[in-house]
Amino acid sequence: MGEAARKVVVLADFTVDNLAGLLSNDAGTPAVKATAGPFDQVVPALLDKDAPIWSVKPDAVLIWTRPERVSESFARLIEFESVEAGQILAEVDQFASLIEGAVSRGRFFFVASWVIPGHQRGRGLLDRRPEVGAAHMLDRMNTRLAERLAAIPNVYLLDTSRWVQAAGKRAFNPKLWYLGKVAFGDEVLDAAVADVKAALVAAEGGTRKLVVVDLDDTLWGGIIGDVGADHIRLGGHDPIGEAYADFQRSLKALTNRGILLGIVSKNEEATALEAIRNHPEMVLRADSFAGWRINWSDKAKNLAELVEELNLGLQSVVFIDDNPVERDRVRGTFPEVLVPEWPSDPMLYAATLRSMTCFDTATVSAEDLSRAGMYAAERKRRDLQGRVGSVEDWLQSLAMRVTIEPPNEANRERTVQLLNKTNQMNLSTRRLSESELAAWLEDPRHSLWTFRVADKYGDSGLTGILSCATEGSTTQIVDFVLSCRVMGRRVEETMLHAAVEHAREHGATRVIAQPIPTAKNKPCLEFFENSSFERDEESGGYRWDTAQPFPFPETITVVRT
Amino acid sequence: MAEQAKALQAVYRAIERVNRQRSSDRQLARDPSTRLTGPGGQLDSLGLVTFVVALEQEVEEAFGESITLTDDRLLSDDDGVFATVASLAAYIERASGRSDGG
Repeated sequence: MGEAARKVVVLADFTVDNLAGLLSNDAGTPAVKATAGPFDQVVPALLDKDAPIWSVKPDAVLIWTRPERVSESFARLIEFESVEAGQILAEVDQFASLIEGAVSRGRFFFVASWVIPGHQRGRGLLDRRPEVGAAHMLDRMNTRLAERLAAIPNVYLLDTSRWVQAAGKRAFNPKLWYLGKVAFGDEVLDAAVADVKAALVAAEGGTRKLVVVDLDDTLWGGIIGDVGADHIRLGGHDPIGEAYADFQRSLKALTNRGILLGIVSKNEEATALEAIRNHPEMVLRADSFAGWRINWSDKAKNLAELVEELNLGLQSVVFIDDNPVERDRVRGTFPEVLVPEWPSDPMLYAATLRSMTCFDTATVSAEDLSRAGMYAAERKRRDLQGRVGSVEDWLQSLAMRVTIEPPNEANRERTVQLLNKTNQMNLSTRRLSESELAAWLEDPRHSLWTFRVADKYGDSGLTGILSCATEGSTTQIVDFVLSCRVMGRRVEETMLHAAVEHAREHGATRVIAQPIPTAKNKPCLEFFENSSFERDEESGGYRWDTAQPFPFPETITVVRT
Repeated sequence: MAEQAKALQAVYRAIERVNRQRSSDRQLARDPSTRLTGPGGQLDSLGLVTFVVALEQEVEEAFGESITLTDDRLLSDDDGVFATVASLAAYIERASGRSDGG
C-alpha cells in the first residue's frame, strides 16, 4: 500500500540475525525493516542512549532474553541450587527498570516473555511447587514482569510460550545453540514474526472493527430457504450443530471486545430474521448485529452499503463466508477487506476465528465494551429520524449532552486510542503514543479537551478530541477528531465553539485550522468548507475572527468538568 | 535415481528455509551447481548453521532416519561435502545407505 516499512530493532542475548531476516522478508503487513542489535548486549544497549543501535531510530523495539541470562539467581535455581525467590524477583524488577529507562528510544517496546527449553525437565513433579520448582518460579517472574511493564505506556509483553507451543518438538535444538548461539528453532521465530506484526498493527490502531458474516452454512448448517428454520443444523447434540453454535459464541465473544458484527446474506430477509430472533439454539440475536443486508443482491454491493451505513471504512472489515466464490468476489472488489480463507469443515470455524490476529488491540476502554449496544441504540436513533420531520427537530428530540473534560488519568487511554484510529473526521491525522502526547501537553501553549457525547438513547462515550496551540494572537486548532458514530449532530460545531472561546480567553484574535488532506478525511475537509469559518485561499486553511463568538448549537447541552 | 532425487529435494527444501532469512539479493539458487562453502560459497557461518540443522530435519523427514551433518570434519572442509548442492546431495544419498549406484 506504499506505506514505509517499520523500523524494528531486535535486542537479544542470543543470535537474532536470522529473526531480523525473517521479519524483514515477511510479506505480511506492515512491512518491517529489522536490525539485529549486537549479540548479548541487551543491558548495555538499554543503559546507553548513545549506543550505535539507536541510530536506527526505531519505530519499535523487540527485546527477547533468556531468563537465566537476565537473572543470575534464576540461573542458579535451574542448576538446583537453593535460591531466595525475593532475590530473583528483585532482578526482574531491575530488568523492568532498564526497559523503562529506554522507552523514549522507540515508539513501542515489545518484550518477549520468558521460557525455558522443553528438554529441561527440572524437578519433574516438583517443578511447579512453590519455593522449589523452576517452572513455578518462571511463572512468578513472568507475572512480575507483566505487572511492571503494564505500568509503562507503549510497552507490551508478548507471549513466547505460544510461539514455542506452535513449534512443537522443533522449538529447541541444542545443535543450533552450540553451533550458532541460536536459542530457538525456525518455527518459533516464524510464530514470533506473526505476533510482532500483529502487535505493530494493534499498537498503531489498525484493529479490524467489523466482522460481516454470511448465514447459510456459515452461522448455521444448511440452506434455510430450502430446509426451513426447524431443520438447520445448530446446537443440540449434533457435533456439526454444536460446532456452529460454538462459532456463534466466538463471534459473540468478539462483541465483548468492541468488535461489531454484520450480516450479508443472499436470503429472504423475513425468513432469516425469523430464525435469528426465534430459533432456540441461536446464540446471536438481532441485537448482536450492528446491521445487515439480507437480500438477493450482489454481496460486494451489499457489503459496501452496510459499511457506509455503519460509518466505517473498508479497511476495518473482515468478511467470512463459506462460499469461495463469494469470498473471491469480495476480495477482488475490495482488496482492503480482510477475507480469510475459510475451512470447509464447520468443526474448524470457531478455532479459525479465535486464532485470527486482526482483532488484537493495544488498549481496552469502556467504549469498546459497550460498542455493540451503542450501535443498537443508533438503530433506534435512525428509526426516530425516519419519523421526525426536519434534521433540527430530530436533533432537538435527541436531547444531546456533551461533556467537555481536560485530559486526565481516566480518559488518557481512550484519548490516545481515538487519536490513533480515527480517519474520517480528523483534521491533521496526527498519530501519537501516550508518551508523545504527554510530552506535547507539557508545553503551556498547548491545550486539549475531550468530548463525551450522550443522548436520550445512551452514552456514546468519549468520541471527540480538540487540541489547540496558542502563540501570540493566533490559536491554531491542531487536532480536531470526532468518531464517525456522532458525526453530523452538531458536536463538530460545539468543538469549534470551544476552540474559539479558548482563544478569546487567552487574548488571541484569530483561530486557524489547517487541514491536512488524506485519502480518508474528506468528511473533515467538507465540514470545514461548509462551516462558518472563513477560507484562507493563501494557506488553504480556515480562520475565525475572535471578535465574534462562534455560534453555539442550540440542540446541545454542554457540561464542563 | 529416486533416492538421488529425494536427497536433492531435501537440500532444496533446506535452501528454501534459509532463503526466508536472507535478503532478496542474497538468495541461494536451487541448482546442483550452487556453491555453498569455500571460494564463492554463499553461506556465512550463521547461514551454514541454520542450513545444516534444517537439512538434518529435512533428511529425517524424507528418509525416515537421521544422519549427522553437523560434523566438524564435514563443515570445515571447504571443498568437501558442503562445497556444492550436488556434492551435498550425493553425500546424503550415500550416508542414508540408499544409493542404488546408478
